[in-house]
Amino acid sequence: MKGFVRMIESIFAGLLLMSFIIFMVPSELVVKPDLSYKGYEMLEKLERKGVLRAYLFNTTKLMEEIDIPGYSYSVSVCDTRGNCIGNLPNATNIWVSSRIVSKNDIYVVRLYIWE
Amino acid sequence: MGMKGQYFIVASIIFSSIFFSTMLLVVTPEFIPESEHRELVYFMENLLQEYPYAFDDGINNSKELGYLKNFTLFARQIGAEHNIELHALWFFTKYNNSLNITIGNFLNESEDVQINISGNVKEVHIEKDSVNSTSLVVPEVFNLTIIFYNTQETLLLDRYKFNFYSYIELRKKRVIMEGDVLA
Repeated sequence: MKGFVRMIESIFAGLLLMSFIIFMVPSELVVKPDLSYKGYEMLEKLERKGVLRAYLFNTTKLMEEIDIPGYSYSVSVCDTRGNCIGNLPNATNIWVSSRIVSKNDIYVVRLYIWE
Repeated sequence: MGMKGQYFIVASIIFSSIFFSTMLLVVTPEFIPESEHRELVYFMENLLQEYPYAFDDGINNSKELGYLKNFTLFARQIGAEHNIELHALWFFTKYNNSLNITIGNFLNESEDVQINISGNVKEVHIEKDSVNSTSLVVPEVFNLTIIFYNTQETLLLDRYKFNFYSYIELRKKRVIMEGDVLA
């Protein structure tokens, strides 16, 4: 019986020790920012301004409407058959945001952002 | 020299480790970055906005069925590029003496869709990724109740108008988002 009491005591001691260790370990994770949301916000802004639909076939004009300070970016517009206009980025670590647009045919506007 | 005390300490550490491991597994939710959740929101808003445009473009080209099918499959492909699963069920109506209802099932499985207009009930079986249609006699303005996939929607429609309704479900990891649009 005495051994059993000692075991309960030591279990509590272990729990206390582990609690202390767990609370001492930092729990916050450092997450690298995902820039794709900047792209989605920009595409939505262009849509609200009406320029996404208006300049769907003019990626140069679309590029002029985009402003993402501190980052490089490019735009492409592709149809369902894979025919694309615009520029693909020549970089690594690229974030892509897409928006589908229906304008007599179906297209996807892809906004590429990189550092 | 007795060694019982050391056994108790080792046992206590083992028990408390098991206890904390189990607690951490049960209590800690899967980490879902906010950006992934936001991506679903943006994609959903995009689809809810563009489906009515797609329907209009389809009508203008007299190819509403083919256009809506293409739009759904293309949207599914774009979603997959962002690891988003897209499931949708939509219908549109056209009136010509009776109301013709065309339903597209792009959910994950075949569906038995129930249409109820003023107690007049029709059940339509639709295979996955296919389309089926039915006809009903309707008054000028009517309530249409559609039941599918544990979803029930009642919509106030006009028989002379081209009506379009779409239910959309997006999934990314454990996040599921639902939305619908009537046009």
